[in-house]
Amino acid sequence: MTLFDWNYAWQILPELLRASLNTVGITLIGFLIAIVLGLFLAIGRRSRLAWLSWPVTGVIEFIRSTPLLIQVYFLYYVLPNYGVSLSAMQVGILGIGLHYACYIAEVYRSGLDAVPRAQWEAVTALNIAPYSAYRNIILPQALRPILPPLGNYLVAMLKDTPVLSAITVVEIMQQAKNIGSENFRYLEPITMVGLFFLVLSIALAYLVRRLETRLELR
Amino acid sequence: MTTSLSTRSAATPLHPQEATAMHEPKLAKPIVSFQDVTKSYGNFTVLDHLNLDVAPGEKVAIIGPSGSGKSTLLRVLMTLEGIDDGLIRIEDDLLTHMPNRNGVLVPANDRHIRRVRGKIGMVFQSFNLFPHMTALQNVIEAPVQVLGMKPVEARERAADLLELVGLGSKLGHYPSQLSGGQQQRVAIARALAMRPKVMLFDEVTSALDPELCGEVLNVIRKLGAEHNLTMLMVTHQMGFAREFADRVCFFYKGQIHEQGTPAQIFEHPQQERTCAFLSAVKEAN
Repeated sequence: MTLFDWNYAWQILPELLRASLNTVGITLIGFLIAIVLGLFLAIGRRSRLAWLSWPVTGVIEFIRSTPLLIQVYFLYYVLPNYGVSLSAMQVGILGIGLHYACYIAEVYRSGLDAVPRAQWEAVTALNIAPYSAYRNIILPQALRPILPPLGNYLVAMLKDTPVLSAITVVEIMQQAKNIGSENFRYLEPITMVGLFFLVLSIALAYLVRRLETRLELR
Repeated sequence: MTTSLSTRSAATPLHPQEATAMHEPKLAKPIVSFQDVTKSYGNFTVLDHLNLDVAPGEKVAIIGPSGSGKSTLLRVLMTLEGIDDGLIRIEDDLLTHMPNRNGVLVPANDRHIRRVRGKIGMVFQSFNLFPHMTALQNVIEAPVQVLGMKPVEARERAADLLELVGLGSKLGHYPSQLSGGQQQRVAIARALAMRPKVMLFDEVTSALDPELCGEVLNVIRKLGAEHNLTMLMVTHQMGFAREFADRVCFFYKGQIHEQGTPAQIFEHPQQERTCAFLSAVKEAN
């Protein structure tokens, strides 16, 4: 028996690639949810209205302080009892997106806090409404310094997708386990999954770096 | 909100004589009017029952020791800070209050504040330009977003305004590529783009190297000469205040301690505090 069976690896590659599409899809859609929702959570938490900022703070802290695994379990196995039943994939994407939205909200908050108060004063003096102010003036300034941590969370999220195998989402890791148990050979599929994550993480980090350079403060 | 405010009807005439007025400008109808305005930070009273009327087109220089409330005066007028008591009027509108259905004054809502605040523009000590936008974009942003001006028209006007402040060749420059004096001139153009009736200048040359002050003051001179803008400026440039202002107000402990024409204040100050301040300034220079 060879140490690494190239034939076997070649054979299982198509199946793994198919599952990897799920992994990539979950990551991209999940991250999209996280960066959009995270922004609203951050703005909510910073709000001067206590009825808004307190509950938002509570939700953020609760989700950040409990494991993703428990959250997706809860969403997938408990919510149906209350009439909310979603597919494993839907729950997976929502769960991971929500989880990371709370981390990313804190990143946004640090970025928003770092925009000098004088910028808000200029906005007030020019009578610019809060929505335009956030969109055109405050956020562009807040985003640049937080791109590196956002990139970190993108990679971390990618690497957290195997957690979703616990609720029967067939992403690349789940597929590798299935293949392994069918053939009683785990070395090749697991190695290939490891390589897949390695290559994709490096590629994403590179893309984020490129984006940072492009948006560098002038 | 105090009881005296809530019971006062909106129709009540609101221009009492200034208690401290030594020099009474001929006011047909003030464009800006402070009535008994009080503002405190904790135990520290920054504005203490302040009364001030400014006539349309008048240039008022505000001088005084630090902590005397001069910058706060501009900041409450720009609604960057709230007031604790009193009324501020811009033309016929109250700034921080509005009458409710029964004619009783209540704190103004955002919409009311935004409408009245639109008549005022402000230039800051530290410029506060938007660093991610070019000079041109800095000037275009608010007219497009707030006045709903067409981008093409806003661009044309912005280019004209930047030309007016002597920066016609720097339209595409980012703030970091401009000197302090140039940044401050962009800030002036940006404020003018909103067509304010009243311009506030808050120590606009204090953050500049001495050799750059002149270019900014020249722009303000030009505005004063060519446009009928009402201007309130907090300044440490006594020479400029003397030459440019119609009236000089000396602030002390949150009140106008003495006011008059530049000649009155700088040559014949009546109050001891004013004399002490002016000689301290002279010594420093």
